[in-house]
Amino acid sequence: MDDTIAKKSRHPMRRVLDVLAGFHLASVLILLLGILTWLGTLEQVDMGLFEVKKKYFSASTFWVVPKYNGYTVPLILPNAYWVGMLFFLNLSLGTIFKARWRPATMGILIAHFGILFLLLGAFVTQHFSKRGNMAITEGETSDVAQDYFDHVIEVTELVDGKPAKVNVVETKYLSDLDPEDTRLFRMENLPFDLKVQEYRVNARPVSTAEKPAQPGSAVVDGYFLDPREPAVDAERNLGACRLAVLDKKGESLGAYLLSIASFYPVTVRVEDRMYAIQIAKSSWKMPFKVHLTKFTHEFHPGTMRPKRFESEIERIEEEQTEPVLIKMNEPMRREGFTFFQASWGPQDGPPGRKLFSVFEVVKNPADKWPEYSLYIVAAGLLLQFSMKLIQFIIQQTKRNG
Amino acid sequence: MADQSTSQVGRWVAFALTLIVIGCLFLLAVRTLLPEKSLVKVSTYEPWSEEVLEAARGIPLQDGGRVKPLETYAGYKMLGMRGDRLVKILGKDGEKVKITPTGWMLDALFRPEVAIKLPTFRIDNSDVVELIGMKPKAKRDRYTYDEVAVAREELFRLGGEYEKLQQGEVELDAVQKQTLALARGVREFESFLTYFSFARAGIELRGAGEEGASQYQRTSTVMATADVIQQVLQEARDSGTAPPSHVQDILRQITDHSNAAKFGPSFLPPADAEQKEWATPGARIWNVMTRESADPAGAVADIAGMENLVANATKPEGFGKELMTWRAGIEGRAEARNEGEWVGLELSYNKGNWFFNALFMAFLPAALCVVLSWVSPRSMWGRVMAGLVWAGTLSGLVMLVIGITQRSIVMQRPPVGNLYDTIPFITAAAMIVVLIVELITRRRLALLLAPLVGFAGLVMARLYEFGDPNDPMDPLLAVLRSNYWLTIHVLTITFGYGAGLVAAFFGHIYVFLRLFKLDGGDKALRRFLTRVTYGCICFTLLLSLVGTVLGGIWANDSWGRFWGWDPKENGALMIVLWTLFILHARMGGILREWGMNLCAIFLAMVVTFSWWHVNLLGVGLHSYGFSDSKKFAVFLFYGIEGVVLLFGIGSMLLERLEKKNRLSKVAVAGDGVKVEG
Repeated sequence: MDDTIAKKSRHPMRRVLDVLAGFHLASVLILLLGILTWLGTLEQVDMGLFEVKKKYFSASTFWVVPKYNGYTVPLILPNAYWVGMLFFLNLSLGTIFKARWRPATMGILIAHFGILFLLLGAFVTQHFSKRGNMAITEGETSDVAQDYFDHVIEVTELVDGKPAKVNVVETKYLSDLDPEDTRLFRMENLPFDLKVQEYRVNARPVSTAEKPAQPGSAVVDGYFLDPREPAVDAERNLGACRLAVLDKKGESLGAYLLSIASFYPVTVRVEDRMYAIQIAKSSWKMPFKVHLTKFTHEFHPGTMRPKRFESEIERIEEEQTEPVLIKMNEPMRREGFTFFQASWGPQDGPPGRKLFSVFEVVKNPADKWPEYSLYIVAAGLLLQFSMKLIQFIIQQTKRNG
Repeated sequence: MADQSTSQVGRWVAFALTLIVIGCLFLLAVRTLLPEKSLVKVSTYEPWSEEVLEAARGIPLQDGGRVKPLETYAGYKMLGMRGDRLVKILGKDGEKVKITPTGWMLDALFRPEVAIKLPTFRIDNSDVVELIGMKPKAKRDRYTYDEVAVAREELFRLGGEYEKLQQGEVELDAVQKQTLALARGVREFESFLTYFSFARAGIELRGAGEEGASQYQRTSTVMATADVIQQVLQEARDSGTAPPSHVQDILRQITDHSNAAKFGPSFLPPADAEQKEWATPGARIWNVMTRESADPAGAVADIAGMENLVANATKPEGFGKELMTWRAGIEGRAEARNEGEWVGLELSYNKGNWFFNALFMAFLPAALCVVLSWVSPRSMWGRVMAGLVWAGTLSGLVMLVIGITQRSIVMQRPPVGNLYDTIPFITAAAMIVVLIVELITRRRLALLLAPLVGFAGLVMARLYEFGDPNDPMDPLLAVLRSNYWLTIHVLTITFGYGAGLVAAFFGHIYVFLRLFKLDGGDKALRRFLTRVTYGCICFTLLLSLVGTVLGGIWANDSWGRFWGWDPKENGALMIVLWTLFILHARMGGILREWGMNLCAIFLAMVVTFSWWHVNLLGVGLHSYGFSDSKKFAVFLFYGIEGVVLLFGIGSMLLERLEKKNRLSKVAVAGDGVKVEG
């Protein structure tokens, strides 16, 4: 009774803190995270991983309406990203204000700090990491990694037929566009501007001779953009858009269809200067070059089961060249970038043909944080549960005489 | 008085339930041993001598990427085609003859005319039989090659059609899947039957004998003339004429022999140490005739050796010795290549038949002793039974551990690398946890659980093996070939599954005790059980959390990301989140005894989701082919656990209602009046 009175007389801020730092909220949030993880796992069957990640685990939405087997589940749930954020807050406040800071609970406190660090690492990874891939053929060198998903529009000035300067319309200005939207890009360094229309995440340019144009798809030189459903494996999406090149007065200099599926960029001549324009996967430059000396792959004898992939490379930094071996489970870490052995090809080429190796390239400031948090969590839990177990054994031993 | 009688009824209901569970598990296990209803009579069948079988068991061969004994190879081939590892027939004079996989394989290789009469193919679905135009037999009866051969053409036509559908990622229905499997099985069996055709038939030189009769030469003899044959072909090419007809005839025969022996077991280690693949005789013949062989003399000797074996196979005496000598030659060559060093240990593992023996010789009797101890648990009888349970459980556990260890040495990797491996390992892990609990608590409660855990686990392992007859000891994919990560991540996470299931077992005990009023209102026992459940949940959390983070760190080294929301990762995370929920809800006062134990039961469903269900989704990096029966088993398990949970929740609510009514009666009775009941 006294306790109830004491609770009622508490300052409203204190009561808010009690809720935010409480076990009840922690339980609800953990349960929600579990349910969302479960639904997000099941929905991957229909939607694919990329779309599920966007739907359930990204900051872009607040709510999730799950689907199972293609049917909508009549349930509105908060997005796991925001549940995770609230859980981080709950855990921080709970650890600081609610937890009993005494030797008996030291293990739990340590474990909680470890989890906070882990969650922080997940946040940093989600917002500040970059990932892409670099494909190099044996004997060749590269210092450019390409994103798996993000599209950009590249405008390259050609001088004597060779690329000179590149202007890029970045992903962030394209990714929010719907097919019916139009966006004008004023290109300060160029004698023309670009008007992007009909931006589609996945589409193929198709001839009207092959198929009549879809409603909403404009025809350019006998071709139109045939929209496709986003691929379950999102890296297979082929971005495309319709592009109008305008002079600085807004007069059209030509309309084009850009597609990742196209082998060549479109070329535009403006004021006697040549430009190549293409839509491409976004790419970024490495602080060092990678030369692929040799790629080796091996199958378990008599089977098509892969046994070993490894790339012998040379890392070239200014004057210095260092040989490195990158293989499965043994990546190369250098200057904040990590190179992983991801794939290779061509897998059906004749013997003796030059092979290419594909590296997954990741820049993640929190690369090693999970490992550190593991040490902290494991130490905390071991300490806590060992103390509990010892207590229990002592009790049982006494009881059993 | 009423309570006591309820407790007595409950006691026997629980007894019956336990008996039913053991009975169902026993039937499932025994189903894999049941022979066909009617035995096929092969009156000409002559069993192989022990000497021959002993020599053949250990012949090394390369299959699935590793060197293994013929016995293992034959065992999985027979399992795939027949659905078990023992052929029973009526031999001479109607006597029952048992044929082991090695004997069956020897028949197929050396006596195809006998092998085609053996019941080799199991076809469970009569629709498949009718589809290919055969007459269905009784359920479980096997079909001989002779019987299937009648429908061979249609079977292969349909098989080809379904294979194309499958390549086009079309989901096949059950009949299509089984037809395709049968077509593949028949084709593979044919590769055994024709394996030594080159030795049996030789090369017919038409018109080379007296008065235009045919003369026969050994294939190896013709192979030795490969250079001459190639020279003749070259001359014909140079002169723009067709090669002589007798050379064409030889080439046609030798091509047929080579094709017939191209598949089947790869017995022949290459002479070149850099060359990793062992060869079949077909490949050897072809390479010599096309002059692609690096060691033609060695290849000719290999083929000649096989011809000698075949020539001696039908002789009653001496074949065992001949086979042993040939085997020693192969072993010597394998040893020189540093291969096959664990074949002997694998034979010992096969002979030990550890999991089978642990299941039927140890855990089953121990489980029966658990049931018998129920009759009078606190008497001398009960103590004797408990002693027998200890003996059975420990001996079973020892066998289990020996089996796991031997497998691990043979595989040269930690004990868990694929889904099958997880089953015996998790069984052993769960049993160890249960026995530790028993040692700490000494209440005989955990002890009674131990053999049931072992029994259930090994029945599951057996069903899995019989449902997916691929050698689980074959080497792993490149990404998994890290003994460091397999040890620290996979073992931790699978140990976590084991601990989670043990927590669920104790949750079940609690719920059943309360449901059937077996605890006689003993609150201390309830508290004790809940503490054990709580302890197991803590242990599960520790292992699952550490295992999951370790998995993330491994993924970060393999694929460049700590977390990718892959279904298997999510499954592990769900165990972590569910155990965290239980612990926090307990701390927050949301869960008490009932809640804790019911949540522990639900943990079994979460573990099952993570352990099995995510693999049948067909997405992600840990996706395996899954048969419909495994899907059914997973959903059946959810169903049973759901029913237990419903009964548990119902019982909890009923109890609360009763308690509330009692309290309200006390309140109504007013001051100074105490009302009981």
